[in-house]
Amino acid sequence: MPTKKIKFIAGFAVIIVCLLVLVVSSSQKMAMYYFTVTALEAREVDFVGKHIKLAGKVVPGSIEKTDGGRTVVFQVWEPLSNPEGTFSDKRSVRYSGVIPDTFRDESDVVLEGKMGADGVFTAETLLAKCPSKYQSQSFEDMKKAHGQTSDY
Amino acid sequence: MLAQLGNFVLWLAVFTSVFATIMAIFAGRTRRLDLTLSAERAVYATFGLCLTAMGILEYLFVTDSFNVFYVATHSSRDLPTIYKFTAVWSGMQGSLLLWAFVLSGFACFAALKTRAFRGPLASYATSIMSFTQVFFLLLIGVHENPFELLPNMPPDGSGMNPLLVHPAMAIHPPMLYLGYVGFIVPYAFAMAALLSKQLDEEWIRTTRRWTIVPWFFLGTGQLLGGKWAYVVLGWGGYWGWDPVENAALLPWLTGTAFLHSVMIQEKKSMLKVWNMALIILTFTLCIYGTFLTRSGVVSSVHAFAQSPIGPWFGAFVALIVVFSAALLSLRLDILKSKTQYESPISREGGFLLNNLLFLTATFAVFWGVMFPVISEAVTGEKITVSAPYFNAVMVPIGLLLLLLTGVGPLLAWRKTSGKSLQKHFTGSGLFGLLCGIVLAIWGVRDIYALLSFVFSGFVTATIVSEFHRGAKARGSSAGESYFQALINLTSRNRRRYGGYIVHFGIVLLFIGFTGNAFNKDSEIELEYMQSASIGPYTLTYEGVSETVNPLTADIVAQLGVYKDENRLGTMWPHQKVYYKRQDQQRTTEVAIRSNLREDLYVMYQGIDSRDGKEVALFHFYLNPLVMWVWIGAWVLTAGTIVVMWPNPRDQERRRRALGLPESQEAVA
Repeated sequence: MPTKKIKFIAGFAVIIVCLLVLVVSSSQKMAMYYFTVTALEAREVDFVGKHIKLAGKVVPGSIEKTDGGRTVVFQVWEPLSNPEGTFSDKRSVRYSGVIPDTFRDESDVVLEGKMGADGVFTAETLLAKCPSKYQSQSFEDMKKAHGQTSDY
Repeated sequence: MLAQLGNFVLWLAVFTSVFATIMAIFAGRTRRLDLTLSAERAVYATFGLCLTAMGILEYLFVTDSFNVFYVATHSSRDLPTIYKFTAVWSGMQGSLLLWAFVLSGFACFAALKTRAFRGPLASYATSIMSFTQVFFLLLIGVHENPFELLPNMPPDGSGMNPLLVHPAMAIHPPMLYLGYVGFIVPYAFAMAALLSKQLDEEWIRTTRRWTIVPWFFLGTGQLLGGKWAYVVLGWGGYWGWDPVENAALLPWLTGTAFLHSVMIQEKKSMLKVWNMALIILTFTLCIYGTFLTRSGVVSSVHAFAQSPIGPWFGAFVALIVVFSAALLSLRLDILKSKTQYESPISREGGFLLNNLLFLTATFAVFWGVMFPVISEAVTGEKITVSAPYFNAVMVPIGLLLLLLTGVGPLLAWRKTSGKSLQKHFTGSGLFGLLCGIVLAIWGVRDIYALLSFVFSGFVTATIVSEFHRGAKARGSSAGESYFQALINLTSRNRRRYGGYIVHFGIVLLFIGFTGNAFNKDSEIELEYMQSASIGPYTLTYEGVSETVNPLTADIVAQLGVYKDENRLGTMWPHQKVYYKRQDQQRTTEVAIRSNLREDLYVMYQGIDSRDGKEVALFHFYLNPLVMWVWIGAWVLTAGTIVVMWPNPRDQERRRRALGLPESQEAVA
């Protein structure tokens, strides 16, 4: 192999290694644990005071605006995958900041923040996914609603 | 009735595309003209049928045919007609149909364009495109049929999500699809080249333009999505490194790498395997992006319906990877290139570095998106990364790419002498540094921002000097005026100078992105006629009013904007309540005052009381340089049009290369 080619490959290899180190080290430095409501339940003790992500569904009727409307306190839970359709335990959340339009009862939310020693999760960011009326309404549901009745 | 017809047409299209696939494979193997022709006709028929299906669905939407389940769940009587039209692709079923329709359009256009040189290459490409068409149409027919009927007609549909009722959102999905789907053309021709062993540069010449088109649409689609997020979602930004955004970015990155490295193959017959790998990767990422958004593998804020089609897409991605990799490895020995690199400081070296950086960027984004999945598989715990990770990695890579944008095009092929480097880069380099020094004195301290401005200045200077030198040389040799020479220069070398314009658009985008380093925001509570400041602006709260419209109740806050005691104008951030909807959905409508320097972006969050006094709640953002992102997008568009504009001389050269008779126009 000509030395020119070796130099060439070595040069590129150095660049690639540097860039990969950048990618991997940044991802480790900035990684955040991601829990669902139930998963956090089990690991709660280990994660008090640590920066984590928490995903769940807003408990209907639990949203309360306090502190003049800028802060919301609400609860999240998640549907358990069992035939009875029951939900997990609830977790209280406090959040101050811009409240997205999509945040309301039954929204899927992803929160970033810290677990307090009191069991309340203080969120710094709140992302909410619409509980789309149409998506929760399945074809079967609609067939039931508009099928048997023949008033129109 | 019409819905049944739509369904029938859909299945007929499945049939014609299966037929086209089989005929095209046999045509490729036997080179028989009759088979080739019948494959072509089947492709045209598929396009006609998809067009009809799309037309029927549009008609069903526009005529409020709520007995169709998909229409009932995605439209409503009160939706303006234009949005009924675009509501077709606001859900899964319709977007898949749009996808299939766009695909059939590309396949049809490709068949029309390749009539001049029918042969195994074109035939195999047709078979690949038709096979993909079969996959999509079957998926629609079996799993996501938009023509499914309800037994009875509901009185009204449940409507489109108000957040989606926005012009940018109406054209954003079709743009993205034109991008995603369009990459099938270069992919199909690459695979056809492997299948037919016609591995000269013919497939690259055929598909070069085809790559720029989807590349452009994919980029524009993302920018439109960003614009929508900025104006509608109201969190003050346009890009959040959400998995769905990243999914669209991935094929764009590899596609950009491909667009560049393909030039080495054209000029030097090198990198043949690499280019194949790149186009395979790009198309795979296009399908993977769809898989990602539809399968629920990673959680995203985008409200896409998850559906059982996730595994189908997963299987399809796997099929593409296995098929393409197997085919590529079978042909490896024919793809060996004979030419060697001479020097790293050359155009080739620049392109290689460009590819390296784009692929690292792709890997970094992919790594970030898949991090939760990977970590869960390895450690059993789900660990995520978000915007800080992406910024930490992508900003340095982006800056290196920006620098390379200036350096690369000025390097000579094979090797560049020190003298020529000095000649080309002294002036531009000094100009960039000067920009940096001025800004540093002016108070810019962020190191990445300074680098970005220095590089932007440098790249702009290189582009301007390229145009200037070209025009001066042409002007003196052809005796044209400077301006005339500039125009002729560009129109005679569209790829080169159009490329520079695209690069300049990229520079402007970077300038806009850099503005993020200086964003400010604050939460403000104001009593009536009270003021607050952000940056150079002072805003005075002048009351709130409510108006009731047919669809919404608008709660409008009024703010007077002042700068140095002068009133600049009034801003009306407001909230809309869709009071007729069951869920009483609210949307926040931000007010934005843009100029070239910065955007003043104001959000109204409602009224509250403080110790018995009424206060209005606002969120103010000051986002510098955002306007340059949109200007950059327009420049990018202009540059792409220059590159794409058909050049009669190119076509003539190509016809001659293929041994075809000269066209009438050229003779005349």
